[in-house]
Amino acid sequence: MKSANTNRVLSRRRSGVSGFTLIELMVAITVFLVIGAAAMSLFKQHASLFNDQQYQIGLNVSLRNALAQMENDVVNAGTGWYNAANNFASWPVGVKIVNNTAGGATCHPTGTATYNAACFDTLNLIVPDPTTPPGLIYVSPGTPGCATPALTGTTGTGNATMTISPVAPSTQSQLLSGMIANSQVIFIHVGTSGTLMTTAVLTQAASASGTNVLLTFGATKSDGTNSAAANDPLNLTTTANVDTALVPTTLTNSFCSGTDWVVKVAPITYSVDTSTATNPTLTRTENGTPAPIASQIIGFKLGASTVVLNGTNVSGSSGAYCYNAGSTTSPCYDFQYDQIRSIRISLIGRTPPGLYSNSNVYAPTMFTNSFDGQPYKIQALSIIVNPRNLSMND
Amino acid sequence: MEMSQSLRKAVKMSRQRGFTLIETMVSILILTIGLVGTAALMSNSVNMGAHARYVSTAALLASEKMEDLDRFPDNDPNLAAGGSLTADITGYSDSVQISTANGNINEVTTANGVTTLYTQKPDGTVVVTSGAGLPAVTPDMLTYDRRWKIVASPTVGPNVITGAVQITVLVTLTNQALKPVVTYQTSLVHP
Repeated sequence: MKSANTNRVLSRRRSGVSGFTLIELMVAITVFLVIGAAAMSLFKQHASLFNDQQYQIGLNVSLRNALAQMENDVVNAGTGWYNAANNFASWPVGVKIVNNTAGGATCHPTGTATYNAACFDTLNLIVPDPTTPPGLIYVSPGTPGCATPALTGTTGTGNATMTISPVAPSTQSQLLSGMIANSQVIFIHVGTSGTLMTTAVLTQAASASGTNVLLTFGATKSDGTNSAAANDPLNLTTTANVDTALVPTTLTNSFCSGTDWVVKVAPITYSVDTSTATNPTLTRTENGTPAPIASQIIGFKLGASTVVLNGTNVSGSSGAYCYNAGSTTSPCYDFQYDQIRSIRISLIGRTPPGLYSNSNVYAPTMFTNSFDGQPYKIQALSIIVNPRNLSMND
Repeated sequence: MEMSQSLRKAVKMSRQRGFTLIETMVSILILTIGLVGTAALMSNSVNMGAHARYVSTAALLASEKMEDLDRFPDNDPNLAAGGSLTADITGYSDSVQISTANGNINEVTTANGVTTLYTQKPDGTVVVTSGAGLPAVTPDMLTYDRRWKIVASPTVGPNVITGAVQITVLVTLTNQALKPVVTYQTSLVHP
């Protein structure tokens, strides 16, 4: 009797302490699912935010890297000239900007992600070729000095020639191996009133002429300017790109034997490669070898401020940065390689447009930029650089 | 003997029971707190990423202004002693707007008493306008204010550098409610 009673009690207690009922289990699972779903959606949202952030940080880093590289090159523009020879005068050649003022729909057709070359400027840094020694201009035995100067041309058509001689410790064979066809050379005249120069491109490899070296190049005009772009790919002397008023004080076609020099240049050029129109790529070309610096660059503009002396600009502007190298009206006077005091470099980049798609179910209300309504982010940065090695009188 | 066996069995079964609803709810609550904490951490990391980006831009803009001033000779009016890091003073302060939506960069500078607005757009155009101020601020814009201070013949350590000027530039992101405030300061002595 007692035993049966105990069993009943035990049995009731056993049923009371068993696990969940079905209802409890359902409730618990439902609560868990609701919380789990909320957590997942939070993660989903954050994942896309996080990716977005990563792309923007990537863009920022790539722009900064490109600007740092340019800063380094521009600051050092004009170095290397003094290694070449010890009687160079203060040498202003270092930077040449080519502005492209087209812009607008000409460069970026509406409703597309494509860009073409009309959008971008070009930065040329004129650097002496470190592997080719300079040559001393040599007219003929017995006529040193300027009594019978060597001329780089008079009409700007056809070819001209000039004899140069190696200066120890450099050798004739070093000059011959450096002065190959298509080399761009700069002729330097150390005159009494400063340094005059002109430039040319060798039309054929230099040849030996006794112990000297004979150069053959596209002829310049009598004022030292070039009319053909092929003779001056860096736009140093091309008529359309120089201030004609300054030509007599900066350019010449006349070089003296025994005191003047020929230097081969190995330019560094920054330009935007638009061969893939949906991915304009900032490219650094050093001595003919291109290397991509940053992809998805949709703006590359260069402004220049000309020489400032005691608050007065040589060309009369207010010290503003000018973005039109061809302009001759205030405040943007024509500027040229030997007047640039400071450069403002602006880069605009974008996150890759292909990374976003309108079928993205997690971002149905997707970001679109207000520039062209596309779902990519845009970032602009600009820096100012002073080419410290150029002669600036301070 | 028989009874004591039954009791032991019952006790054993009661030890094997599952969770109660309360226990489950408590565990879900703890899980939720953990997940919310993780989510907060993620959102924090995204914010810090943005903050780092803004500071990096501020640093770049500070160095831009520094280089801009460094191009002038010591006796140039643009390097006359003056300016303040705590107030906007004409000739010693300017602003840069960087739009995150349309990609424009607008910059106002003053040189030789002339204010110039540079607006660059991603369609390959740069507009240089003399005497114009910045366009109206829109929410997508990052507006960086730049102030600089120029001290003639500064004291650097124990030495007074006669004839030199010290340029200090402070850049602050003004229109974004971020904590900590995005700011960057740099300084150089211009010999």
